[in-house]
Amino acid sequence: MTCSGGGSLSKACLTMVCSTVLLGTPALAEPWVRGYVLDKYEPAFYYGAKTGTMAAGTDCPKGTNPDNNYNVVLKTSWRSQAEVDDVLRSATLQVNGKFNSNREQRLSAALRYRGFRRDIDSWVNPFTAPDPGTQEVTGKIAEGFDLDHNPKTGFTSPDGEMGIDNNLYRVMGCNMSYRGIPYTAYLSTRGNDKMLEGLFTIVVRVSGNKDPMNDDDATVEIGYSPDHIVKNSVGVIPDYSYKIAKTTQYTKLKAKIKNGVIETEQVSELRLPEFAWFENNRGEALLYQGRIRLTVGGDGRASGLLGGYRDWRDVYGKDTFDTSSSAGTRETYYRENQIGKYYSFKRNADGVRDPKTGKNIGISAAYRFTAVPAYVIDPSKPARINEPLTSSVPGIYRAMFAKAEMTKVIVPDPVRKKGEYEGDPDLRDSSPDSKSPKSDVVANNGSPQTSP
Amino acid sequence: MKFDRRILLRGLCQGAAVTVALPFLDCFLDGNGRALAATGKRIPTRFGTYFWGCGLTKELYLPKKTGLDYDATPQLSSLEPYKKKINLVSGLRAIVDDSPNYQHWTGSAAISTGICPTKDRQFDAQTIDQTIAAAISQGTRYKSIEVAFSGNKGDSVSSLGGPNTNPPEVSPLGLYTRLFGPGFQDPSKGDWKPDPQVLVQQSALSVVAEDRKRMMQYVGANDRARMDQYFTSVRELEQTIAAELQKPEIVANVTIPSAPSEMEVNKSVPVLRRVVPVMSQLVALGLATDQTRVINVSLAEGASTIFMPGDPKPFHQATHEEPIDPAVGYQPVTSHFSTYSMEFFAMLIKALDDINEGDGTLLDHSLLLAYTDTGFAKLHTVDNIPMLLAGSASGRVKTGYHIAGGDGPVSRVGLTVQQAMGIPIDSWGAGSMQTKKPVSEILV
Repeated sequence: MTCSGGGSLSKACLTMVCSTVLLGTPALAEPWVRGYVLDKYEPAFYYGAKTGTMAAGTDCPKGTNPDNNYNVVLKTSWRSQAEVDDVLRSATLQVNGKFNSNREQRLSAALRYRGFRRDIDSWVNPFTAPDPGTQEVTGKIAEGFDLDHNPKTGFTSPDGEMGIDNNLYRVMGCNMSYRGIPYTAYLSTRGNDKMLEGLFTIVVRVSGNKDPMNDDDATVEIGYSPDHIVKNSVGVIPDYSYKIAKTTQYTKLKAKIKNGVIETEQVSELRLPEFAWFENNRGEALLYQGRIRLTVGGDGRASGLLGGYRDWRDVYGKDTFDTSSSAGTRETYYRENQIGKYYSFKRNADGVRDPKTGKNIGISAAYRFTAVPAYVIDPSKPARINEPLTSSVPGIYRAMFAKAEMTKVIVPDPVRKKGEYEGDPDLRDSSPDSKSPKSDVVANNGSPQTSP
Repeated sequence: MKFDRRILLRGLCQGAAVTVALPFLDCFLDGNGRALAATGKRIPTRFGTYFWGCGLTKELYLPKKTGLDYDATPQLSSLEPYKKKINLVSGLRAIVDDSPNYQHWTGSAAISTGICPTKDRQFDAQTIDQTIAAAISQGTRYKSIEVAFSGNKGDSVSSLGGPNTNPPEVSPLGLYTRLFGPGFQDPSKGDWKPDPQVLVQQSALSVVAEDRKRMMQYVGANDRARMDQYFTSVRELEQTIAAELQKPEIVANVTIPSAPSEMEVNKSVPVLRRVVPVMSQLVALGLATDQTRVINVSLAEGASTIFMPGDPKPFHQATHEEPIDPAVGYQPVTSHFSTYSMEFFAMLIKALDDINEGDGTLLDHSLLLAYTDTGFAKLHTVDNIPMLLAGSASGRVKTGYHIAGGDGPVSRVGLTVQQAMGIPIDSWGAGSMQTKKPVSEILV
């Protein structure tokens, strides 16, 4: 329809325009879009103590898991006490008055072998070692979702919702690296620092057709952005633009919004960037039957929770082999026990039943995040993921573990070059041949000495 | 009797011939104590780096005030006697762009090259000390001297680029022998002749030089670039030999420093407390006698494993394992290692400041850049990396300041240092690390 009137609006046309203006006043019925970039992201592990990162609490009554007792951990049917003593002696800071620069490698190399036979890599074949046990979370409270829609299973949320499924928390929540009030745990602070530094970027885009505060036909997109987070000395700067990459780290979900709380549907596969703290453990996270909850605050910032079932074998593989020897870091620096963790994963797998074996391969998990307003844009050309700059070796080890776990056939060590090492400078593992109880101890001048 | 700065001392030490050059004596200088009387040249300005791993404890080192007369802090207490000769720079960061943050590598490599490294344990350019050495070390016996207090040959942060580093001296005796062992001829002798071995080397290099010219005509641009890089070291050797073929002008007898005995060298803090003063004095003497004008000193590696006997963990491991004490807001045990790292830097500063030279001390005629790899080792952060500058570079740098860098790139300090050392550049670094903004508050 056109309005014409020789230079002035006719009465009818004016009436129509006014009506349109009046009807349009609640522009809330118009399509709308909100964008966010995550500034904090971590596993949602409820801390049952009030302060700090180590105290005993309702989650872990004995407090954070202590250092491994290597005297016990290294004991096997084939390793004599004398050999254990030798490893521990050469793993001390000084041997016969000489500084032992090889101490961590020596211990790590020995920890790799504690199956029922001397030549079995027990990180690759954890089922060959007995379950050493580990302190799991025994508290009743957890963050997450009722993924199986059964309020009788799982934890209770801090708000009192029953049936919260988060068994990843049960397995790992008493470990040093993950304990603390929100966003203060060791690996959380480390991962978030790296995220803000450019290791990876996650964006969320929420769109709808009604009212951003109340809309039963909204959409949530979450995914990787190749753009680095823009920050200053205070934090992430709001309202910068970020491209979203619709790749293997991207998911689009239907959602409903009620009073500003955004709840998505549960999708079969929720894909997004992995929680990571260095180049080697960056990548894709896949959560089965995943969902997201997002709440927008009065200041425009958002906080949220996402959850789903993770393939526990994938979690174990990444955790154990973000480098070929990162399990050594876990078992020394982080006070964890990969074998104990393996059995705990199996024990607590609570979803995604494998029809062939009848066993669960999924472990329920949840991650929390906060986000600041941003413009999330579709690039003119499809954006790509900046793939991690890592060697292929960790992937080989993960595949070896996956094969061993599926077949229960012991996978032998690959041929490794002496001193082969890639990635994690926290701990430079030595080659498996250093499992010999008489391996070298490097003295202060770099020349090898025979350990006593 | 007239003396010259090229005076050398000769003697026997444990059966080996030892020749020692002299420090700058007042008698070499003009009435103002600044220029050499014989040549009219100014006292050379020396440059050095001191690297320690795993950073400092922000809660214990960072002064609340900036500018002059900033407040004293516990972690810098060992540097307090030299506060007026030191600048503290805080708040700068390594901006990684599209490169990963290589743990215990990115921060230090970014400071020393102006480029966030694209590969782990590889420098994307030569380190700043080598750039400066190329400009100021002509005619000295050594282009630079590298030292690792830790006793570990792998703990060098000086490089011509790529994965290789310049090998450090790792013991007091080794450093002494390098500086004051055989190698000089006594120029006081009337029949002074160039060392025949040096002549042979010069002759061989002449042949190489001819071959080089011929080869360069037949290779492509890429190979020419590679060849050029390779022959850089050859040319440096030629320059060194040329310097050794020049007869020093005057010779005199002065006290010969005695060789240190074999010492235990490792990363134990008590051992370092014995070794560091000795090696620092030798380094200072090497600078004072103009055998080199550039030194690079590493306390230990980036993921520092210095340790205190009795403690269960070394420095680096403690940074990751020790929780933050909520009562104080930092890691108590870890912080001790950071304090020790400053204690050892103070020993190096003392050694330079103890040597009087003209109108000041050797420290006054030097510029030492002290830096680390991280702002907070527990998280491997590369922002808020602390850096210190000691000495005034012969008056080219104002001292006694705390400069808060305001979130800028760490390359600002590298640019400042090079300008202070007379390198004619107005920009340094690459990518987001490229800067045209020196720390102008301290440049004269």
